[in-house]
Amino acid sequence: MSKAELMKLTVAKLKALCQEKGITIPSGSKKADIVKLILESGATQEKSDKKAPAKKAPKESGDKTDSKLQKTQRKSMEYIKKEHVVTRTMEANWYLSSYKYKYNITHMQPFLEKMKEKKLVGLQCSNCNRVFFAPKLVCGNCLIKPDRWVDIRETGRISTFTVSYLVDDKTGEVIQKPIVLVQHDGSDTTWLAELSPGVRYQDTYIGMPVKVKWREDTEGSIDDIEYYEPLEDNAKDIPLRKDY
Amino acid sequence: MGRQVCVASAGFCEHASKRSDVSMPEMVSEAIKDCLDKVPGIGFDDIDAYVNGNMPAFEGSNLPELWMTDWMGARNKPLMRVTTGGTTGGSVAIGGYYTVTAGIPGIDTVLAVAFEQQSQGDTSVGLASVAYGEISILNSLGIPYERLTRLLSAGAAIGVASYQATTYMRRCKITEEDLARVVVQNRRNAANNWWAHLKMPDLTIEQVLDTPYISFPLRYGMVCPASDGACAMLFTTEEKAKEWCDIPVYVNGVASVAHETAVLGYDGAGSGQLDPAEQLGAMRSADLAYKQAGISFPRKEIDYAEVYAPFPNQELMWVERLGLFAENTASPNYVNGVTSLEGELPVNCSGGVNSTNAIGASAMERPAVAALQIMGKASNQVPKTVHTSLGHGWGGSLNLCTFMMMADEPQRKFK
Repeated sequence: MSKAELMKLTVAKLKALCQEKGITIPSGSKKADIVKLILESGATQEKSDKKAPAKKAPKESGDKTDSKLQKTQRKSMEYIKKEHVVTRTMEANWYLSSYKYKYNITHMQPFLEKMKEKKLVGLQCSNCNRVFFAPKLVCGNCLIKPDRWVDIRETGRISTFTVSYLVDDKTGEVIQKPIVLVQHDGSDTTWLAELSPGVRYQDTYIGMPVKVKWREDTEGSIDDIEYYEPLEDNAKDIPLRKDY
Repeated sequence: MGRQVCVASAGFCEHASKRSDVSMPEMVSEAIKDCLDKVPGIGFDDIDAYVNGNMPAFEGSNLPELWMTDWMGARNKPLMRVTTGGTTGGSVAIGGYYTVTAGIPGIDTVLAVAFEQQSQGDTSVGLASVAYGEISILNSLGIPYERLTRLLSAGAAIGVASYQATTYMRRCKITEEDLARVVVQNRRNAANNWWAHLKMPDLTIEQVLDTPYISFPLRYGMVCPASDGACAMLFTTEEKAKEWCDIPVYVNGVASVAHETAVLGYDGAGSGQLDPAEQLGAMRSADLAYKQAGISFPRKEIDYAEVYAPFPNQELMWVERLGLFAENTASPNYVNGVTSLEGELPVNCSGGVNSTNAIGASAMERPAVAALQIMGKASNQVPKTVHTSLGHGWGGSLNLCTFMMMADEPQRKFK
């Protein structure tokens, strides 16, 4: 650890570090003094050695994952901080008992049965003619039950997206995965979905055409849609990048 | 038509990530003391009723308003509690306004108190229960819980904001640099504000862009902190406010409108809206409040705006939706310095929610700062004279928007 890195740490952390290494700090010493003491004692060399396995970096996959890990590690930004005196605290738990929340599934039944046949259907409101996919029990604008089942195409376009950064439990790698909202052709609502694992998150864009990829053995649940595959785009103004 | 309502004073406690030196009611009493100090000669005896609010699940204490009865001087007085998620503070302020404007005999002065001590509990647990509406509808689709957490992994509030950010950035053709510029302006403003949390006087755009992503367009450096803090506002009638303050602040319009669910197209309003940055609820709430206040040209008539923007893309989005700037033109104004402290239309000179976010309190801090800017008592006061200002709040899983218009003169023509 260099001097600059140590200066970024808070005073409390530095003191804890000194206690670990057995360095005595004279009372009333400032942050710069403590850093100087640590640097003189040469304790930082051990510290960096200790810290390396704690990063969970897999040994086999060399630099690539390391840089990825560093990217997602939190960098604290310096701000003017006031240290408050700590008052007495009491440990306690708020045990929230288990609840039984209810949700209606009757309007979903025909939809799920059609999923088994690898077909998509949506519910249309007979007053405002909007098509809900997934089906909804009540139309929010008209306050009536939509009752007309209409066919929805398997294709659609990405209406908006984000990228999630989750750590894989097995490998410890950070997976950058696009999560998209798809508007199916023939429907008026969006649908939360995942893209095919082959798609890089940099290539995702709003308006990207996608198609459903079904599972081989469908069971009649939402999980029958495995993921969405990107389609060839013939729109000239938004070219689909294919540099991978 | 009810009575004309005035803001006599507003106060804050010091915000920090961990207010480890005080308990929850002690923290609230600091804000109330700051509020009452600004109107000399006024004490607990002059206050007739109380409105109180926070998000109880975020800090693990149920019925905190009963705990702090003595700390806010509410013994033997009417007390009401309001909780509406992220907009709790805005709803508490509107509750205070309604209580005064109703004209109940004997109730002229109302103290509205909003607070949050997030370091005490686990906010993410609380947010999970707030987002239940969305989880239930996804459950009814048959999505197993593990897959659901992966899909909504972006989290409660930031998950919503990142979808908004993607569509907004595409429509306005702005880059991350433009988002970082908003953050820099906010955090530098916060450095001059005594109660703000993240004070960064030397922050640069490069430093913000150097931090890792949390959820695609939003980086770690762009996201609001979790703070402990409290805010108090004193609402009273026109006659009393004229007696108490040099410049009484008239509340000329309030509105709170919810429109579309946070995760689109699932449940809630079910309007089938496709663009998360459209925010019809905010436009509607602004329209209602402007109509009450008699404002026809918001850009010309409003001198100061305080909008609820935990994420920088939202600040750009809200100033457009509230009619302060034309569509897709907010970002250039941040480059030109129109929205800076010395600018033509200063926005979020307190540092905004981006620098200080005590969830229950932050929606009330917006109208509170806007009122103090008119009085000339705000920390980080704008140099120009402020005649009209607005305070806006956003939150909940249903995009609830609260809105409060304030001015230094009442709107007589609507009476």
